[in-house]
Amino acid sequence: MEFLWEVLADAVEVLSRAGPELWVVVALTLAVSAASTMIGVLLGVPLGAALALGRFRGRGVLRLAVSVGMGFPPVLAGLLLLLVFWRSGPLGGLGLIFTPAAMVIAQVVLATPVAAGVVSGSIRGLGMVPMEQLTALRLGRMARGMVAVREARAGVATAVAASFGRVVAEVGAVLVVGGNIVGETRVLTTLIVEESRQARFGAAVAAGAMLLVIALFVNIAVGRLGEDGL
Amino acid sequence: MGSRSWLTAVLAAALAAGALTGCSSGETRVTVVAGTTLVDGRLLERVTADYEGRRPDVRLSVVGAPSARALALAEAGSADVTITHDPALEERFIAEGRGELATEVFSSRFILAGPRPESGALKGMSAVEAFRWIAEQGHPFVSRADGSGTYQVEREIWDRVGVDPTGREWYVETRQGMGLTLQVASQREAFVLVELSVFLTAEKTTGLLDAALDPAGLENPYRAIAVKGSPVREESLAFVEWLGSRSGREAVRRANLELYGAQIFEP
Repeated sequence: MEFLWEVLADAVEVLSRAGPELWVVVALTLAVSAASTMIGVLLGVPLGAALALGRFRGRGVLRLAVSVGMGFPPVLAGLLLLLVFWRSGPLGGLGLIFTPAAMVIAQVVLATPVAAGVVSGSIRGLGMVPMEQLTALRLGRMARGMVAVREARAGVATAVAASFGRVVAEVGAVLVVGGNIVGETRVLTTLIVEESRQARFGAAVAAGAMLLVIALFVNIAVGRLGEDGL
Repeated sequence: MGSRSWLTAVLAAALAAGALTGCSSGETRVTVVAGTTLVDGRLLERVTADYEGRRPDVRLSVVGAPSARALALAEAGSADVTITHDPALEERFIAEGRGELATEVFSSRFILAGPRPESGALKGMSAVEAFRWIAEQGHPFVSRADGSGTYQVEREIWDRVGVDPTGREWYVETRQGMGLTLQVASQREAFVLVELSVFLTAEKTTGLLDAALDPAGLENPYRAIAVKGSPVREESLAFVEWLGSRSGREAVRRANLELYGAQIFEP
């Protein structure tokens, strides 16, 4: 028990004298997670609506891809992108490896299927009657999709929360493509891995507390969004 | 129902497997904390497997950590044996009476690796001259900056140059192991001080070139220490003794040959 108290006391001390080095990490965590959630939702919501409402060739394959994507192992996504962005790899010329941009791309790959899956599920969950109404409205495809997304806005909020939750808590992909470099690509999760590996448990717990606070705030904020409507 | 009973069977099998590997009877577990290079490079894996073949009653659990961390873990009672490469720290550790038995086990060396044209220009220079050139040019340099033996050597060279690179725009700190640090150096076309075996293993993928400096001052000796106060004192002492023995050195030579085709960690 004494050990745990020591770690906790240490964590409090780390937080109380948190300097710019920790704030840089927090800021990058927020920036990378927010950017990738936004892009993931922008891509995932239309994709989810199309999967729920559309009748087109390849829908089955796309649906399968989304299902697989929702559970895709992050560290594998990281590895594949590392190979693609490696200097002598196919997109190496872009110079993205070990940059925040590469981290955002990896996170988008993880977030998009989650957003699409959640939105698709909640549109289908609207039930038959709203669907019939949608058909009766004789709207164009795009308009129909927009009405459906509006109806399923609680689902969209859940999609935002779920995507953010997945990316902000994720460590495998950002570690591999980002490299956890001081002041450049270090985020809270990779910092926790590093601190615990070095047995600086107090600092690891402090970073963990930060991560928890961020996740909590975002979930509360997004929950409000779903209740109050879009 | 069918799927549930299937799931139960899988769970039971997993638990049984865990129990079998976890507590095979009569084995004494010795925790060896060794420099990350030895662990990541798999050399130690082979040497310890060799030893376990001779002593089936002993199980060596190898954990990788930078040298400073390894010795701190030993001080906290979390390691029975350390194998590190930070002579100054090791000598202090021994002087404080924390080591029961210490022996130099093998030695590799550091090289300076960097992008092609620049590396070629540094050929034959001393480490101090090369580092001074890097600082003057402001050429990107990637450092582990993590309390490893490698970083210690790097700092000593910077001290002799009379430059503190911390915070300079061209100086990148990864604060991580040699493997990732080498990757970052490769992708940024930067210089990096790297242990020879790590460099050789990744030479093709990194595309960096050995600058072929004058090797003086770039030796990398490893020392094994049996930690005083270990609950498995006898087994720890026996392992460290074996590492220094003819049979241990033979095992190291074999591991070298299998991994690198040459004696990189020279016993």
